[in-house]
Order: sequence, then C-alpha cells, then structure tokens
Amino acid sequence: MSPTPSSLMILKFVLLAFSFFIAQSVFASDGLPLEPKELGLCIEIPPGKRCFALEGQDWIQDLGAGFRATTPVDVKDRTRLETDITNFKSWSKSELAKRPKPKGEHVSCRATIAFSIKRKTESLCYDTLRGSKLDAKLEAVVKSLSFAKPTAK
Amino acid sequence: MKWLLFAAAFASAFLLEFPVVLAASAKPQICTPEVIATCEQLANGPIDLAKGQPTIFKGAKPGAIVNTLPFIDSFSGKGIDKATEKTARLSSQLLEFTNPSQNQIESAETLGRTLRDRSVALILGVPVNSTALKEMTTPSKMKTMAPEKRIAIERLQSLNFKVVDGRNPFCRILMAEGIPNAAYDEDRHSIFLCQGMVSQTEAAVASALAHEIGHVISPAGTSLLQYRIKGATPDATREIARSCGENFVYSEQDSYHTEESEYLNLALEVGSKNVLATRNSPLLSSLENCGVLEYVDDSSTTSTDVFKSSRACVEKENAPAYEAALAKYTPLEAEQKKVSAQAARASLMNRMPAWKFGVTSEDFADSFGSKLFGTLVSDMKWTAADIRAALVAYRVSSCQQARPGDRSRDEEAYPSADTRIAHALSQPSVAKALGCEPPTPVCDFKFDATKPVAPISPASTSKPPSNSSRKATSSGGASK
Repeated sequence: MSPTPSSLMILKFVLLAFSFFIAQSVFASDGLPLEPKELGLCIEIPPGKRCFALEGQDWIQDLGAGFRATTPVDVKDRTRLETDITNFKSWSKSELAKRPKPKGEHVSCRATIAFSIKRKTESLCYDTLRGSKLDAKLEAVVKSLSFAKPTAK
Repeated sequence: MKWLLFAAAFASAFLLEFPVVLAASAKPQICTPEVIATCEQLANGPIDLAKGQPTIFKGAKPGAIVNTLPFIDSFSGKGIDKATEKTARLSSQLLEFTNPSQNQIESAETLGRTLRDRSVALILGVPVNSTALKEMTTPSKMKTMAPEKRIAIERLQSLNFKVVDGRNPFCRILMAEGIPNAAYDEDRHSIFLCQGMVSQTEAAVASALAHEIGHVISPAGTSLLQYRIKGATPDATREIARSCGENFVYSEQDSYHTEESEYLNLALEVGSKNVLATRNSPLLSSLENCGVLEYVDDSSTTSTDVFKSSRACVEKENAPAYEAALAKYTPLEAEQKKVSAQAARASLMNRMPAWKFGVTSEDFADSFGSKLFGTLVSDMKWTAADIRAALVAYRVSSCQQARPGDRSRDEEAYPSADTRIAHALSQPSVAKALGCEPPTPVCDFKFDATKPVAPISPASTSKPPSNSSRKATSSGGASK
C-alpha cells in the first residue's frame, strides 16, 4: 500500500514528519459537533481523526495531533477539492446503501466521516472499514486532499 | 587609622568575595524552550542538536535529527526557496527511517512495558523493581487496595503495546504513512506506535509512550469497563467466536463483514488480551453474550478522588478554552437539536465534560507523561542531546505558534506547545540534563486517592448478563 514516492508525496511526508509524535488523543466519537465549513471533510477512525477544511483562502489540514498545515489555494484548487469531496460523498452514500442493513437499533461506527459542503454538514457512519472498498477509496481521497502544493512567493 | 584599616579590610573582603558573587549570579537559569533549540536555528534547516549522536535503538540506522520547520514553512508557502533543496535531501533520509528493523520494533515494545512498570511504581510511590512493589501488587494486596488505585494499576498491567504498519488505517490514512506518531486505542486497550515513531530516538519514543500511558490512567481511561478476551490463544478465541454464527462472518474478499468479527479480529491481531468500552456498549455486550469476552468485575471508576489535584489543576488551567468551546458549539447544538441554548449547553457538557475535553485530557496526559518520562531520564543516563531530540518536535510547533496569525494548533484539542514543553522542563532530571533550573510545574501530577470510592459496575446501568443467562441469550441467535 506504500505510495510511490513521487516528489509531491515525499514533500508531504517531510513537511509533516517528526512533528507528529506528539501524542494522539483518545478521541471521543460523541464529542463536540462539527462546525459547518464552506468545504471540509473530517475522518474519524478511533483512535485518530484527520480533518481538512477551507478557511478563507487557505486549505487547512489538521492531523489531529496538535498540528495543522495551511496551504493557500487558488480557484482551480478549490474546484478540484470540492469535486473530490462531493464525489466521495456520493460514492460513500451509494456504497452504504448497498450494504446489508445491520440488525438491531444500535450500530457502532468503525469510522465516521463528516462532510461539509457549502456550509451544510452531514456525517456518515461506516460500520466496517477494513478490507473494504471504502478503505482504498478513502486512502485515495486523503491523498488527493492532502496535496502539498507549495505556492511560490 | 582604625577607619583606614577597616576600609582596607572591607575592600579586600569585597574583592575576595566578588568572584563568589559572580559565580552565584552565574547559576543555571530557569529552563525555557530555547534550551531545546532557538527558532532561528530551526528555521535554518537541520541542526546538530547535540553535537553528538543521541541514543538510538540497537539496530537502528544512525542519522541526524531532522527538524521540520523549514518544510512546514514551505508547505505553508513561506520560505520555500530556502527549504526546497533541504527538503529534497532530507526526504530520502526520512523515508529510510520509516522502515524500522525488527530490533527497533522489539525495543520500542519493550520500552513500553518498562514504562508501564514504572507507572505502577510511580502511582504506588515505591521504587521500580523493588520488593515493595512486588508485594504491593500481589493479587491479595490488590484486593484490599482502594478501588480507584487498583483500577488504575489494573489498566496498566493489562496494557498492550504494538508497533503497527501501514496496513493500520490509523497510521496510513489518518497520519499518512511514515509519519511518527503514537496513540492509545481504548477499544483494544493498546498503545499503537506507527513505524515512523519507532524510527525515532529512544528518548523520543519514551516521551510519546509516557504521554499515551497518561491517557490510559486518565479519568477517561479508568471510567471505561474492562473485558478480558477469552480463549488461551487467538485461534482458540476465534473458535469460540465461530460458535456465535453469523455475528462472526468475516471475509477479506467481501466488502462487508460484521462489526463483531472486525472488532475481535483487530484486537487479536494486535495481541490485546483486554478491551475497554463505555458503559452500555451494545457491541461489547454482544461479544460478551457470545462468550468471547468476559467482563472484569468492578473494572471502572469515575472517582473524582483518583487524581483530584492534578485534574483540578488542568481543568482550572484550561477553563477558558472549555468555556470558549461551549460558547462556540452551543448555538450549533441548539440549532441541530431544536432545543434551547440552555438545554444545548447542558447536552454538550454531558457529552464532553471538562475532564474529557480535548485540551484538558491532553494536558493531563502531558502532566503524567512528563513525570513518568522524568523518572526514566536519569536512570537511562540520557544526555542533553537525547532530551533535545525528544522535545524538538514540540519546539518546532512552539516556534510556529509564536508567529502572529498562526493557525497550526487545534486550540480545542491541544495545549500550546510551550505549555507542553514546560511540563517536560519542570522535571528535575530533564532540567539537570539540559543544564538549567526546572521551572514551576504547570500542573504537577499527583496521585492522591486516599479514600475508597465504590467502583462503577454495569449493574447500575445495564449489566452484561451472567454466564447462565448468556447461554440463553446467545441461543436465540444474533443479538445486539
């Protein structure tokens, strides 16, 4: 599953590396509600959480370990990010609809993904993750959203 | 004449004493984040933090300590020109480091167990590996211990450590493969270390592990119910699980498998023998009903006396952040649930009490983790280089956070980097290694459970069924 160490991927690793051993919290799945963003995606797979959000002209990547990275984005980037998030949401909903309905009233969310599009939020609960198509799809989306595209100044 | 003699004597005495006065004024200064590295040093790329190599695990590849500030800057569109060349050079080093040897993996897991044992000694106030410690932790003595103390120790004794690779979504999707990090996963009652973490120095790994152990014994950790995984081996446990029928359908090929099977498989894969859960967890009740898990009696407490002073300190310290989060989210909650602001606030406080709130929770873990780390520093004879290497990531973010308009911190989840550094520097052994005086602790960690507090059992809410009723329940097929 290792990504090909393209220059962008290498850059991403290096940018974030060594800063993240500050330990990871135990995230409560029933914590504070997600603040609606113009555009955003929050993935929670206990014990971790990773969020992406558009704040003004900046794309914020929050790795949940006390660090965020800020990347200025242009209109083209924003369009691509919105398309990626919207497509992933549509795909997820259609995939979830295909799954057998769980028995009983309660479902434990093995992963929770909160989408924020045009300031409207929706959280999807995934009762399973491992070995699923979602896993691969999710990884692809994360790679797409965590682009390290430095804007030369 | 007398006056002249007196003046001469005074002057001589003064001159003689002057060097002493100078010496006294040159005593070590209070430790500040600069003792780790200055922001200027960090901004100029990789630095030799130590003028010497810090301790690395046996079998590890030797290499420099890399700081990331220039690269984070380039990520943010600042200082890219300066950092590009160094980024390219160091990226190859990093990728090489993120593939730890078997020796490193074993060393990291051993270090975790060492810190676990030290935590027990710290809580009981006796030296590690002492006869007193052995005597105090015998089953008969544990039974007579105040519940809150016993539960914290039991949590530590059953804690599992596991280095996980990129197959684990936590390391691959959430952290990005290769990025050093660790986490306490309460579901599997295990501390996970991503491979990139294991490639760090011994002291850096210890620092991360110590913080995670702080989460294990925090009120959030000790308020969870504990279940023991039945079956002497993973295969034996799976055999029990298979008798539960469709609850344990699992297929690598299919995109769907039951949550019970996935949960159990993950626990068995990482070698955990215990799992924890909040009260009223249907998933855990289902597994218990199937005979896969066994509830450990009296296994939780939310006693406020467990770490009374430490908890009070971090909550006080972080009260403004907590209030700010409540103020921010109350209108959202009210809107979503169509309730009054007062009801929304109460709901938020119930779901996220101050002791469970991100900043407080992390501060508590830092408080205990630093104390634990401090006990190891002198015994391991770590040098200033080791300490700097262990704390440099905090310092990188502290330099980031010092900049006007910086948004590199999630203020609702983590204390400021300077606060986190202060926890570490306030440990006498850490300060001594760095050649400075420890500052006053932000919140000194104290274990001050003095009076027994009744533990919480699921009986007060929804006690898992007994063995006899379990059979009756499971015979009825899948239940959730």
